[in-house]
Parts: sequence; C-alpha cells; structure tokens
Amino acid sequence: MRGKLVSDISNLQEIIKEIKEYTFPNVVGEVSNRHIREFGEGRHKIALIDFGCKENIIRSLVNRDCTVTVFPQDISAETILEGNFDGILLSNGPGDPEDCKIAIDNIKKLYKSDIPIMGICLGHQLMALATGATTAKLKYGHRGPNHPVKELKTGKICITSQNHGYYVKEDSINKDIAEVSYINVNDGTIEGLNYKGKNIFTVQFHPEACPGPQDCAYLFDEFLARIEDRT
Amino acid sequence: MPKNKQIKKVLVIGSGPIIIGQAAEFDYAGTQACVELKKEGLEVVLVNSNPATIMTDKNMADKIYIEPLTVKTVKKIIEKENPDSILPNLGGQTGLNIAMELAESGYLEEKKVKLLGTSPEGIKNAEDRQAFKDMMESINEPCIASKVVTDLQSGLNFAREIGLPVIIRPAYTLGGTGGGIAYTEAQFNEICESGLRLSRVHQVLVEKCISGWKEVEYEVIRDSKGNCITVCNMENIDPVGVHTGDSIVVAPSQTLADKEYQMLRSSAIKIISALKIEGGCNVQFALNPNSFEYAVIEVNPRVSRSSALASKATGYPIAKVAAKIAIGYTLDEIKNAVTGKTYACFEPVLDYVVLKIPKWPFSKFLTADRDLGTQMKATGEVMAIAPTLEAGLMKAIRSLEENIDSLILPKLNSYSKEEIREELKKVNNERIWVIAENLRRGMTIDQIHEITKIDKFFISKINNLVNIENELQSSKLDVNLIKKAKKYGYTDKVISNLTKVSLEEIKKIREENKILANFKMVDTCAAEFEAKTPYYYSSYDDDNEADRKTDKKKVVVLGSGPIRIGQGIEFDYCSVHAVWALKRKGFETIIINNNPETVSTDFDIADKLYFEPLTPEDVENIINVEKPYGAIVQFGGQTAIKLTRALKDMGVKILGTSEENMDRAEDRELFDQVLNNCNITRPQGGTVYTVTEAKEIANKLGYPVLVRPSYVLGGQGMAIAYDDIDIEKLIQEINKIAQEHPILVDKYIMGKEIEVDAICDGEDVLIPGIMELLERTGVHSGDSISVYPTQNVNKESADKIVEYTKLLAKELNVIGMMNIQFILQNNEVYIIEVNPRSSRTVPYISKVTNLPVIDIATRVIFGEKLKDMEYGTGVYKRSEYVAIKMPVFSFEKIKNADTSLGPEMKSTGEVLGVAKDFTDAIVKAFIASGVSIPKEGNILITVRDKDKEEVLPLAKKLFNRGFKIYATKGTANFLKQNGIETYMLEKIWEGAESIPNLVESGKINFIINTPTKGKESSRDGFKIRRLAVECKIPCFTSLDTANALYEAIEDTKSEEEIDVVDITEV
Repeated sequence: MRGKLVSDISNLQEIIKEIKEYTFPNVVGEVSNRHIREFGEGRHKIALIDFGCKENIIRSLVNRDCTVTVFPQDISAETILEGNFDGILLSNGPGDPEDCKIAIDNIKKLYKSDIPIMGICLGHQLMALATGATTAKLKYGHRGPNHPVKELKTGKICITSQNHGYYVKEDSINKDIAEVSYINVNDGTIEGLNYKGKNIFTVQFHPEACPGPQDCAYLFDEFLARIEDRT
Repeated sequence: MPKNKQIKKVLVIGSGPIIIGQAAEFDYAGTQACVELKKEGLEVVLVNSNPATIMTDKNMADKIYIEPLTVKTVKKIIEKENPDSILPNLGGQTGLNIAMELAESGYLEEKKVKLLGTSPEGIKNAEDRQAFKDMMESINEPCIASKVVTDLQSGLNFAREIGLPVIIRPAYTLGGTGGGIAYTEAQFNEICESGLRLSRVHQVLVEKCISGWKEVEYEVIRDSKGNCITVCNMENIDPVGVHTGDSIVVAPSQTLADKEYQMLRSSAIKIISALKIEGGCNVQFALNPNSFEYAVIEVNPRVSRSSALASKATGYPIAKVAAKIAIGYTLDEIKNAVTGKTYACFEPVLDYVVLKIPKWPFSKFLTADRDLGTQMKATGEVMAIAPTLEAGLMKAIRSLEENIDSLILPKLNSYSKEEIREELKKVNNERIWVIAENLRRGMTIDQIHEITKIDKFFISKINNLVNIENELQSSKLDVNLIKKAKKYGYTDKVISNLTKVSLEEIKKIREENKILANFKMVDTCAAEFEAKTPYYYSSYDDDNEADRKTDKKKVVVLGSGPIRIGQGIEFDYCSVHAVWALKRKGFETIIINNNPETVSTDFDIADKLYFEPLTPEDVENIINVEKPYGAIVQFGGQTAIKLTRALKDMGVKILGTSEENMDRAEDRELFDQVLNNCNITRPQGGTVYTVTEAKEIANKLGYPVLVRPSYVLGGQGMAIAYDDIDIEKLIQEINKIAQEHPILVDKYIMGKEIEVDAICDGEDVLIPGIMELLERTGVHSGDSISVYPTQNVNKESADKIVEYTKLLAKELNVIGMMNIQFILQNNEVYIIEVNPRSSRTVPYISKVTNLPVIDIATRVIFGEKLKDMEYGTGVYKRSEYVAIKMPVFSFEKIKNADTSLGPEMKSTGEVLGVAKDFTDAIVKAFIASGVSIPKEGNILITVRDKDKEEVLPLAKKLFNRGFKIYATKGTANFLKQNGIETYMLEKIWEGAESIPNLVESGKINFIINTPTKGKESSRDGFKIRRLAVECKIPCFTSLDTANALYEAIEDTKSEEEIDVVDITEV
C-alpha cells in the first residue's frame, strides 16, 4: 500500500495520481555508497557489496577479525574475484530485488566461484534471483524486531529483526540448487537458504540486529567458520 | 515437542494467604494454569490454604485441598492422591519452597513424583545466593560485589572490605523480608542479624550498594528445546534501592536505547539458558546510567508479580504458556491467544505505555515508617495503559483511590521552600508529588535529578504535567487547552478545580467539540496482525477500536481496584463469578478494573475488559461507548458501591438493590429509620461533625464508645474511645481528610459478633450460613477468626438472627447479596451494620457450603426467584464440616505498625481450616496462618488491668499443662496472688532476662499482650508487640484469640494425624 503525508488535500486527484505513478527505479543505486571503503585490520579479507548496507554488518565483521572492503552496488564481479578475498557478503538494501539487474548478473558470476558467500535481506533475495528462483511482494511486509524464525535443521526458534516487503517464493526454488534453512514461524515464508555444494548461505532477516535482538549474531561466526574451513 | 503423555495427574501448589509480597497475582497464575491443564485432559489436584481464591473453586480442579501449605500436609496429600507430577512454579515463593523441600529431601524421587518445569538444580542455582553467584561468574555475567555469609562477623568484615553502604538480602524470603540498606555499622548489625534470623537457611547476601543505577526487569520464557523469548521489559522510575514491588514501574523501558535494551535482553536469555529454566522467569538488572556497565540483581525462576504485570501490560498470558511448557509443549506449538493465528513464540510490541503504582497501607498504619527500601511494603498495585506516560501517570494516580486525582498533594502546600526541598531527599510513597511540588516552586529538572537520581526523562514528564497545571490556572480555558489537558490525562474535575470553570461547562465544551475518549485495543503486536482480544484502554486520540458489534444485552460489572487491607481478592472472586453467571445467562459482559494482579483483568474472563480507573468520569467514558443495559455494583466492594450514584446520574440502570436502598443501609439516619420500621435494636448512638458534638454524645451514651467515619471499608479510622481525650484525638484524625459524611459515635457493646451473608430476591431470603466470630466486638470482623457453622449460638438467638435478616432484606428491598453483622449479648441481638453488597466471607462460605452463592445472587438480580431454584430458602443446611477462617497479617513487612487488634482492619489475607470437628479445624487454621502450636514451653503474659481477671483461667490452664509463665510486674503480681507460679520480669528492657533477650533467644513460644489505649509507639506494649513481630513469635492482643489457640494446644492430634479434606466432596 502506498501513501503520502500531505498538509493540504484540496487537489486530492492530483495527489492520488502522483502516488499511483510513483516509482523509485534505482533506489539501491541511490543508497549505495559510490566509493570503495575499507574497515578494520583483521585477518580475514571480506568483500562487502553495499546495496544500502547497515553499519552494524561491517562492525560485526570487523569485530570478528576481518578487514572489510565495501564496494558500490554496481561493482563488477571480476573486480571482486580478482581481489583475493576470503569471503563475500551481500548486504541488505531497499526496494524490489528484480530491479537490481546489474547486481544479479554479477552475483551469477560470484556464485560460480568457490568463495564463501553470506547474504542478508536484499542480498538473500538477489542470490535467489541469480540462481533462478523468483521473488514476490508480501501482502504485509515483515517489519519489526520481534519476528520468530525457525531453523529447520534444529527446530530452534530465534527472534529476529526484520524489515522487508518482498520474499523468495518457495515453489520457485530448484531443490538441487538450494534448500530452505529458516522459515518464518508466523506465515511460513522462507527466511533463509543454503546452497547445495556451495559455501553459500543467505538469510532474509537481520543477524546484525541494531535495532533488535542479537539472537542470530552467531551467523557471522558461521560465515567465518566456513572461511576458516576453506583456508 | 508435543505434550508429555506420561503426565496424567498433576499437583498444583498455590501461594497461600495474601501477604505483602505475595498477592492476587498467584491466583491469576494458578487459575490460568489449572484451566490449561484441565483443557489438556489432565487430572488436577490443587492445594492452597487461601479460600478467597478463584483457583480453589470447584470447577478449577478435580480435587481441591484448602489445607495448610506445609511440607507435612502436602506430603499427606501426595500420599492420598498419588499424583505423578508437581507444578511448583506458579504458586509464588511459598509453592516453590515447598516443592524444593520435597525434592531436596528425596521424597519426590521416593514417591516417583516428577517436578514439572525447571529442574530442582536449576531452581537452586537461581535461588541460592552462592550457587547463583558461581553460575553467573561461570557464564561471565556481572553480579554486584557481594558475599554470602551465615554469621554477623564475616558479614561485617566483608562490608568493611567493600565499603558502606551495603545492601543485605536474606536468602529464600519473599518480598525481600528482613533486607535493607546499611549506611553505618550499627545499621549493618541490626539488619544483618534480623536477616539471618528470617532466612530459611540462615543465610544473607551482603552486597555493594549501587543505589542510583537504573533498575530494569525482563520477563523471559524458555521451553524444553531451549527456545527463549522476552515478553517485555520494564523500567523502574525509582532507581535501584527501592524494592521493585514498591517502585513505580513503566513498560516498556523508556530511557534505554536499543544498544542497552539488547545488551540486557541478551544477558537475560543467556542466564535463563544457563539455568535451564522451563517456563517463565524474571531477571532484574541494575544499569549504570552513565555507561554500559550493568549487573544482574536477581532471578526469579517462576512466575511472579512482575510476570502478572507483564501479562496484563502486553496481553501475553505468561502463566498459561508456562503451564503448557511444563507439560511438554514448546513455544512454537502454542498459539498466541490474542491473534489466534500467530504463535506464542514471538515478542509482544507495545504501541502504548503502561504504568504501575503500588498501593501502600500507610493510611491504615499511622505509626508506620513510610520510607521505601529493599523491604516491600505495598499490599497491591494499580496499572494504567495510555498513549503517553503523562496520561498513564494521571490514570494510575486516580486508580489508587487515595482521594488524590492529580500531581497536587494538598498537604504539601503548607511546606516552606526549604521543607519541600528537604522532603525530596526522602524516598517514600509521596515522592512523585514532592517532585511535582518542587518543580512548581522553581526547582529545575537537573537539581531534582541530582537529589533523587531519578532519570531526567521521568522528571521532565512530571514537569510537563506541572506545566499543564500552570497553563490551566493562568490561561483562559478554550477548546485547544481542554483538548491538550485531556490528552495529558486530566479529568474534568481537576480541570475544573484548576480553572474554576464548572464541571458542566467543561463537559459541554467537550461534547460540542467532540473531545471524547476513544478506546484502543491491547493486541500484543501493535496492530501488525489482526487481533481478536477485546481488551481496551482509553485515549483522546482519534479512531475508536472498541466497536465490536453484538446483539446481546450488555452488562457492566465494576471491579474492586487494587488489593488493600479491607478490600482484597474476595471481591475479585465475586466479580469474576458474576461475569461467569452473566455469560451463562446470555449477556455480553463488560468488566472495568485496574488491578493487574487479578483474575478479573485476565482478558479471557469477560467479553470485554476495560483497563481503566474506577472514577465516575472514566466509567462514564466507557458507558458512553458501550451503552449497556445496566451495571452491577454489589460485587466490587466499596470501590464499586461508591460509583452507584454516579452511574445512576449517567442514566445507567443499577441492577440488583436500588441506589436508594443502598443509601438507606449506608446513611446513619436513614438506617435508623429502617431499624425502627423493623423493630430491631442497635447500639445507641448519633452522628457528629465536630469534637464538641462527639464529646457531648459520648458522655450521654457513656464510655466506651465506638467512633467511625461513614462510607468506609475495613473500618478505616474506626476506634473505641474510653474518654474525652480519646475522642479528641480520633475526631481530629478522621477530620484530617475532609468528610463528606458525618462521623458515627455509638455505644460500645461487648458481646459476640455474628456475621451473615444472604441472598434476597425481594420475597425470599437464602442464608448460606451463619458465622460466629471468636473475637468479641471491638475487633474488626476481617481480623477475627470466623467459624462456620456457629458453635456457641443457641437456637433462640439463631432464629432471631434469621428473622432480622429477613426483615432487613425485605425492608431494604435487597435484590442480590447482603451482609449483616450482629452483636449477641445475653441472648439479645443487636445490629452493627448492613452492607448491601457481597462481602469478604462470600468465597469461603460458598466453598464450605457448596452453594454457588454469586451465581444464585446474579440470577436473582435478573428476576429469577429463590423458590424456583433447587437450593431452598431460609438457612441452608448445616455443613457436617467445620470451617474456620483465620486472618493473616503482614506486620513484619511494615516497620513500626501497631499490631494490636481493634475496630480498624489490619490483616492482609486469610486462610481456612476445614475439618470434621472444631478442634481439628482450629489446629489447621493456626498452622496454615503460620502459627505453630506449642505443646510445652514458655509464655509471656502482660495485660492491662481490666483484662487481668479474664486472663486468669487461661493462665491457669496453660500453667497446669506445664507451660512456664513469664509476666511483667502488674500481671505477675496478680497471677501470683491467684495461685499461679509466675516468673516476674522486674525490668522489661534491661538485664539478662529482659524481654528482648528472652524473645530473641527463642525462649518464649508466644505472648499474650492486651494493649492499653493510645497509639503511641513509645509505649512498652507497642515495643513488645513489635519485638514479637520481628522475632516471628505469635503475639495475641485479644484474649479470645489466645483462648482459641489453647483449644488447639489441647488437641491431641498432630498435623500429620488430622485428615486432609477434599472440598469437592464436602
């Protein structure tokens, strides 16, 4: 549902038209930092693609002994693959994932490498799109710091921070490529995917919290464990 | 994990009588648990000594034992019933302690009884101070520098090491009994000594004092799979140092940023995971306001007062979920009852703010110390829900029913600027009013923060309210200002007082401009999901959410507000039963109440719950939206009765006894007319306003006389006057609060008190039972031991009592419940008073007679006739069991409260002893109330002159049984003269054989002390009584109570030998 805050409704028809026609075609491009930036001096070299990245993702990695290089959203896959990184993080970001054409093409290439990849929120959706799944809009978005998700492997529940209006459709997933790792307890939608034969996992919720519960911060440890295993 | 199939029969342990620190919240938790367990098809066995509870109702459990909550008795029940498991974590500290004793002694293992929920090891790790500290250290969670000690010297050494001030916390006591903050070594010695004595395991924690830090609590739930959620967090407005039960609390926290919130949340989850809690749990933190430093204060591995508050604040039913977890379910398998679609495994979000203010008993105990510290003193609490903190605060203040409806406390007007500043240093029940007054007198928020350490955010909220007051006083009242004041929570009455604009005028402006209250829903999820729960609070925002349509006729039941001395859980019992009866009759039920501890404010009870203050304006707002068919006021105690006139003025039909007839029962002169019409006598007396008038009447009647204000509950302000000096003092005290109604002065008649509850339909009367009070007139009936059926009333008197009851019911045209108190003197029957409402004795009499009293009364209110029901009319058949209701006091919690019994009620709760004969019943009642019955030992007697003659036979009997009698000079001389060997105490307060030495060393088993007149705390009698309280030794201030104990002493059976009674079979 769309809306607009106005102080005067005398030209209501015009306002409604404006609301209806409103698009934000390059929202990710607007919010992604255009410069390459580097954080931390840790042992593990991480490439982070910034689709509108929350600072605490960077902090969570830096605190785990990482050097994080943050790239603009349209960075070429080649640049990253040639950068000798230990791991890649696909950040969160706004808008309809299908609009991120360049990013999806790049992620297709990254998928083929064997570098461990972690995706969060939009990053999760983009990886799914890059591997042939589809996304759709939720009737009511998941927003707030109180969303229960269930890890299917253990049956354990975590309370997570969420802020997304789109989701990855379960029936679009090729079972040979990915398996569902987390689901939302309330509506059963996909909250996480594990990519088969790959060092790739993605989650729809925000393990970096801020705001919200820190229950899933262990996912960053898992990401680093995968990196450690590989090296 | 689904339900554990091995569980078939569960013993639920309740929390016993209402005492300070353990109130109605455990009836709420226990009732939810019992309902849930029964729904799961389990057989439920319940034990609780408190007959006023809803959980001890016949339909709540399969077997119900209203028996003493002692290890011995619970063992007897286990042996009789053979349950396979025990649910220990819903009966407060009492239930948990009993379960732990049974588990630790190996008894449960031997009987193959499983402890449901958290394991005994987990409970021990949370409850035992040292074990808890060790565990916190092992998981790297910070505690406050502290040490567990078992003797005074090592405590003192440690205190010196970490530096004073220190806090002393006894282990295994509830409500922090015996704890305190010591600033000097002398204070340390005093508090530490009493703490060691009060601790079940003779253990106290000496801890670095961190007063000034923020105090924050988290309510956490964990299941057997390790899933954890936090239901809500709460912040105390009062910084660390005031017991959380005595603090003003807000939910959710208001001054924590996400970083602090999540830091503490993560810590809480880490702790309950380490303790392997299965069920509800409460974690309390102290947070340094200037850094991210925090410390864990304590953990309660059970549902608690805070969890009841959290449940009501969020709509998340903690006790219900905890019960389901205990029998095997996990959080993701339990539905969220509010949305019906989502699951219990989520965290509620609040789009409103909740405030709790404690209700203290200080107006009852004039000598009591009003300072607040680590020892809880409140008997109950009120909660308010509002869109803003300011409006919440104003609602909560109104809900307290202290005759104060804003932040203006009139008595502070007379304080000088210096005095009011000085007052700010005191931490007591008036602190928020003192803050407001200081703001009015120009103190800044920063200055107040410096002194009180209360967060500036909260002080600025109080300042906002003070600013509105100023605006109302100085500007012309217009639509915008009214709108603003309403949003800030001001009632029309306060606006009128401040602006001098009439109430009618304000109301007119409001109605013309549509400044009307709307109602918002409490939905657990801030409207993210569609909610089904009709649980509302008022606001002055747009959009009304209380618009559920119904074809049924609506009936409003008014609740009874906070638990206080004189009006307790009994009235909640009555309100809830009335709602159930109305539902059965096909009405849409609406309950209005503001007590978060109770069953009535569980959103599952009525069709609609309005969590609101019980004042005319707040009630009218609801009436305007709901437009009910009528309202029932007779079940909500004096709180509801007081609203009768206002309801009638709003055009609401009063269901049951009419307003006019209620007035005829309450108004002295009208009531005299009623008695005249019925030809019934009452003690002579009259009404007065001034001391002179009072003296005149008193002298005409002849002393002693009974003095009391009209329209009060629990005999507030009531006393016996023996001379003119007493009269002067009493009338002045009563007139401290402006009296709308005259003061009553009656001739005091010494006799036996009889109490009757009756249901009347306008034609016939049904009397469930006649109750006899063991203490003579002059002791408030709520503080007396009440015996059903009567043991010492002859047929002639009983007939007269029944006849008078019928006459009065007819004359007053009572429709529904009434309660009458009689005096019996030499076969003459006098009337003390008639209450045209349900009473404190209704729950107990319902249970022992097996009569659904409130259900019958509700049906009668709607026109059904007693003669058409199956219960008959007149006096209901006499039970073959004897039931004795015994009062329970909380004197040890309230420093300097006088413990002597009189016309003003002082007890906080009650227990019941049920047995085939009187003696066994009285033994049970005493044990249940915490009085141990000595078979030998030493007794101290010190009575006033006029009681000496009367105490003689009792002293003789005790002496003959081998008790050694100690007495003070006058009493000793008298007893010796009468041939009783007595040990005379020459000096009361000095020497090796001083009373303190004798009492503290545990040499004295009990004390008989009748008070001389006067309430001064400097008198010897007062000090002896306090000493007894501090040392947990029974002290009887009425010879009748002492005589009753003697009956118990004479019983040859021990606790183990007396049969336990399943009251469902009575």
